[in-house]
Amino acid sequence: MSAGVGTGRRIALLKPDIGVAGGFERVVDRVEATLRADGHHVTRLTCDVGALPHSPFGVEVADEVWHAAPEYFRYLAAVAAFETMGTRHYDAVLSTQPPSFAHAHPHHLSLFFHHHRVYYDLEDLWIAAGFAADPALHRQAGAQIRALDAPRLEAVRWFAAGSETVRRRLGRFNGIDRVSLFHAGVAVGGAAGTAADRDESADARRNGPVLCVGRLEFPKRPELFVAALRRLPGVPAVIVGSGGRADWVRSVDHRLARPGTDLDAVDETALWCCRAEVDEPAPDGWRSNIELAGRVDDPTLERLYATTPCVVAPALDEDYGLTAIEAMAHGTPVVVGHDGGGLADLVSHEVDGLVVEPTGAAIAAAVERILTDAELAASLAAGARARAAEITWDRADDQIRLALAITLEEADAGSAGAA
Amino acid sequence: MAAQDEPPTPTETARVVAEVGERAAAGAGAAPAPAPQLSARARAALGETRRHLDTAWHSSDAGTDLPDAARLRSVKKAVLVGLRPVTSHQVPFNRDLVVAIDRLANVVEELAGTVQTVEERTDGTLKRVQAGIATVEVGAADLEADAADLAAQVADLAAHAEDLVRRIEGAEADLVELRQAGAATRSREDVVLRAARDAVTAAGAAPSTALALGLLADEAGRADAHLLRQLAAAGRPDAEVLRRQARVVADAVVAAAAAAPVLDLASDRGEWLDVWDEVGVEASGVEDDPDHVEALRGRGHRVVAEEPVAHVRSAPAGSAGAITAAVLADVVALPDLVDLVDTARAALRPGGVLVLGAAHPNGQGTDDPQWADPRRRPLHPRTLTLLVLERGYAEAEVVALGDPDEPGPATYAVVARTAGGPPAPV
Repeated sequence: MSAGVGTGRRIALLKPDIGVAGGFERVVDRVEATLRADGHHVTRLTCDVGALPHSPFGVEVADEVWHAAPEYFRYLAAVAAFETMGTRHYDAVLSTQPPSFAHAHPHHLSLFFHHHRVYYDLEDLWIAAGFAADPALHRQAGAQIRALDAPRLEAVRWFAAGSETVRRRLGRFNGIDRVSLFHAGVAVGGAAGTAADRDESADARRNGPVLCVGRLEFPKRPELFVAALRRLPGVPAVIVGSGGRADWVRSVDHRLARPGTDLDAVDETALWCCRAEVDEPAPDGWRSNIELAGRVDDPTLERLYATTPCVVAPALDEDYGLTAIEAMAHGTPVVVGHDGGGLADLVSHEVDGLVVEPTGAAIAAAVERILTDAELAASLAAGARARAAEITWDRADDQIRLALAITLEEADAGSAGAA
Repeated sequence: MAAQDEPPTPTETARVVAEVGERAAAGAGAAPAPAPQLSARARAALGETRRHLDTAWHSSDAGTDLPDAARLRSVKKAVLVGLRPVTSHQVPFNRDLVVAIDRLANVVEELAGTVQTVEERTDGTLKRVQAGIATVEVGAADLEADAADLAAQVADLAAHAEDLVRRIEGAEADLVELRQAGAATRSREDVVLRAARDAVTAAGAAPSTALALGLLADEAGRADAHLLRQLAAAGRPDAEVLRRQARVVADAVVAAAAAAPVLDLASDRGEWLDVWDEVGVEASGVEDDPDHVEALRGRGHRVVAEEPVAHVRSAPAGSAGAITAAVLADVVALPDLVDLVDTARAALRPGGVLVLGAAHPNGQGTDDPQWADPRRRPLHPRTLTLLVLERGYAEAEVVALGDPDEPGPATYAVVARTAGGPPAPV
């Protein structure tokens, strides 16, 4: 334990239940385990966001009104739920996803990975993509939420931000600089911690499919991966992950595979914003070089990571980029877009991966470089291992301990910069 | 609020959005202070009071002045002057009275508002208490679920423990049988030795003959280990069968051995080593039976006299192209097998192969002679495949080694490949 935190603290861990068990949930589990291992008494306080009463802050909201702006009302209801939780007897509160930071406590540490982004940095894109049924209402709701969040974020004593990108967003939207970094380690696989120690010469030849890992949701942009791999029809590829856009992604693949399609003329932004005219679903039984594998178990994913020549992570402005870290831990180079946020923070161009324009053509060219230039592939693999070796759970544990110590006034905030 | 069966108008939704947002922005659920909610009767009484007070206020100086157009104005004014000692006190009194009653009305209204606020706060506190109780209930439910999980895990552990106990008991029974067999052999040897010694003494033979018999007696003392080897040999397939099996996986071994030599473990009589020589790959053996070591060296094989797993453990990383073992995987204990798989992975080059032969468990029920080896334990092909994949091999394939013309379950081998090589040709 590097930071001077006492043990035996009573810590309330606030986590909204949004019905998803993804990478962030694993990160929270790991943080909770670390705090317990350090001798703290951790209690998880949660609320089922989908089952909150439709009466936030005492205002009865009729069902039809609620369903006209469900994101907004759910958020407000969750704010009210977290505000009413009793933590007076706890020494500290550790909040996680929004809006758990709304809870007031004198020693409040926020493990902060993102705002409610469709009302912040993604607001314009969300509206442009047509996801907001009533753009004016969405903007009104966004203004309300930003006004609501501001004083509650201001009341948080310290932030452990998931990446430089997240730290920048806190500064941009809230003018907050009480922030230290928390770089989560690899989440997939019990043996993942040793993945970087594996035989490096195994990188010399990787015969597995090109890999894309992530939830099939906006703005992960799996459509860009499809657009890229349609340009490489002889290269096998796998998309791992599930989500509401699985059928859409398959339809896009089918549409772009249609003979005579000019891939250079395709409006790719319209593809990942769901604005393109994809008029028919992919027929049953239709197959291309891109397999949608859905969710896979950890051993399978580890094996895919270990045998793929590269992982493509096309997401827009990611909070962190856990996929990239996992890939690198297996000595796998990563291709990301320069607008990838946390992903672009993690990857150094031509050192441990390739940072390219977020287009199908650029991604395809990058994949082809790795497939055909063995020297480059080996160099990127070595770089990826070296990068992953820097991002360990031991370091993440120390980062959360330091942030907690600052929150509990047991460490100087200046030490966050030194760490 | 819109009717239940009609979609909300944008204005209505926007209004609710704003209302909730404003309440939330006011902080911790506190709504802007509304006007006190008095009863209709109280509101009417207060309104009536204020109207009377207004009227009283405007007439509080009655009798102190006259309009310019009043009739008989000079007479009336004289009367008023006469009454001034009285009215000069009455007017301030009237006004003070109106002000006092007005203040009293305000106080009554404030009191009503305070009562309302207290009621609302009590209601809010009650809701928080209810929310707190709900949170505690959820926590208790979580605890209950955790306890159930824990109980299930404990039950699993107990089942595993029972299984382990059964296996240990089985192993102990096997050991007892082996010891009994060893003791029987020793007693037969003792009988022979005693008979021989008696015969030698009776014939008056030389002391060297008696010494030879003493050495024989020492050897009988080591009968347990030797007996085990003999019993194991009884379950080893014929030499030609083993060579035929090796040829089935020879392509994979040859491909993997292109850049580094082959290490054959527990070579025994060296059947697989013979085949590796035959197909022209550089191979050496590891064998801990000194007799077999001597015999193999005599046939020109390069052999290290060492326990096989220990030898692989000390082999330099990436030094072997292929590691093979015809009879090893299913005659060692599971921890030793896991150790073998791990250490072999470290010793193999990228794309190297580990080839482990084993008797198919189905053979137990078909009188397969391989099961004469008492060390043999059932090792299903799927178990071995999962083991090598779990321990980091990139690929694994089960290959049937038996003669396709012969009935019965086949001997099989698992060919496991480390990451970095081309697909297995078998």
